[in-house]
Amino acid sequence: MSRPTNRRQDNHKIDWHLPSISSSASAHHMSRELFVLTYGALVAQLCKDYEKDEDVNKYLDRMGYDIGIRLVEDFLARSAVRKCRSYSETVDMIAQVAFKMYLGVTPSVSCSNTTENEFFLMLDKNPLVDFVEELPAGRCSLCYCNLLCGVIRGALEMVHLAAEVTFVQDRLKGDDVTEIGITFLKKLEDKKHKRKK
Amino acid sequence: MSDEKGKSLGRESGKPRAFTALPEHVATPRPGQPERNTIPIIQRSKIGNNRLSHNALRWHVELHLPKCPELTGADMAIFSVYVVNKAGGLIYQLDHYAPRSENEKTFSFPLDLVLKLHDERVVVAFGQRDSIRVGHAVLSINGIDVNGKYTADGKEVLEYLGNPTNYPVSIRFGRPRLSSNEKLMLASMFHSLFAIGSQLSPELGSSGIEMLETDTFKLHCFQTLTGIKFVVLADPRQAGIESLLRKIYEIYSDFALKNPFYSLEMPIRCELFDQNLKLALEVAEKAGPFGPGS
Repeated sequence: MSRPTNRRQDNHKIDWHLPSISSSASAHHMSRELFVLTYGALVAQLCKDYEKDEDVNKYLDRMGYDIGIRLVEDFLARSAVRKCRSYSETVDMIAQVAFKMYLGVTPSVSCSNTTENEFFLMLDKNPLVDFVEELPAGRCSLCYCNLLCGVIRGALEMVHLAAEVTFVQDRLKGDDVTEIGITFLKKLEDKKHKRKK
Repeated sequence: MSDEKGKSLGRESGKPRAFTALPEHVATPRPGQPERNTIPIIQRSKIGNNRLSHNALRWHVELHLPKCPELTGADMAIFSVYVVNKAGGLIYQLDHYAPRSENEKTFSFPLDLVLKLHDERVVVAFGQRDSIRVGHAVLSINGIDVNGKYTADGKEVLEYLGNPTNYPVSIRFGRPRLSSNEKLMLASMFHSLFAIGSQLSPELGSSGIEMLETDTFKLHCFQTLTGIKFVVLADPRQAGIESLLRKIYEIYSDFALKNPFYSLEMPIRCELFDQNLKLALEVAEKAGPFGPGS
């Protein structure tokens, strides 16, 4: 948004009298437990419906993608973020603003040493796995939170940034930390408009 | 100096008959009429000698500054809202204004206006009088709406009005409203102009057209980072349109996008979106010219 300076003041001065369902970013009222339980039920049902882990992962990713393409507009409408000028700014935005707004956690961002288009989000606290102890037997390669990957991928695509998002490390699979890897596919060219989140 | 009503023209030019010497078919806009017709000024300057035309010009300039109660104060209006998707297609359109230049009058045979079919509409070609201007379309006959050249109950308008047995008839004239096809076309045209606007810029990374200003309305456009454009046409004095555009974006993200049965880039047919948008427009209108924002 090209003129963010006015926006904060406007929101204070005009009382839009709209129902509370359309409230500002800080008040996305929802019971967190309900969300986590719903997500758990979703994954459990997908596991029942599909034998292979890859299928479950694929469908979780697809669902996440469908959510992400819509969620990004909500994110942009509610947070007065400016255009990001680089990939690292974009990933910072995702980690510090978007994750905070929707999940209440702030993952830490790190960049890969080898490729400049690859970034990692390290989640110490993942609310989605609050009630999960371990993956069921026979489901070793299930990415429980693959929905998140789909969300990020969908959101980035809507702002014209193609990226591959996967879980690099997962605590549920036995690793130390949970890490999401974001790899931007196209090199950032000097396009006139619409290149950032 | 002549006053606004121009009554003292006689005193100034010494030729009181100048007023009646004007061509009759050129209507003078009355106070209370928001539309300003600039053509008569040019025509009148060609009439008579230099001194007279100079004074006549000045008189008519003053007459053209309307002191309409509608435009000073209460009636800050937002005229319409358009939402354009990434490909340039119109996905939502709302007309919010009450048209101010509609007139219904009863006529008896023969009709002293000349009507003709133009662009699939029946418009006044000649015989401008009172507040019925050239270019106004027939909107309804005897209360029955007119669609193009037929009335809602299937009668052909020109034929009906040519038949003396149908008189006296009550016809409503007004500025023809845009049909939905025309709106679609204009929206995609605006989408292209928006892109051209950003390319014409001497600076790199410029935004597209953000505001288009005319004497009767201002068009404000806001393009989101995802490529959707929200366009609002409002009264030039209406303030707070910037925040209104952000609000419409929020309403779109809430009631259109979160509706699971709404597909992206398709026309928006969500009741809640309509309702909340109208509420937001009313709030913005009440904020008036002293509201924050542009």
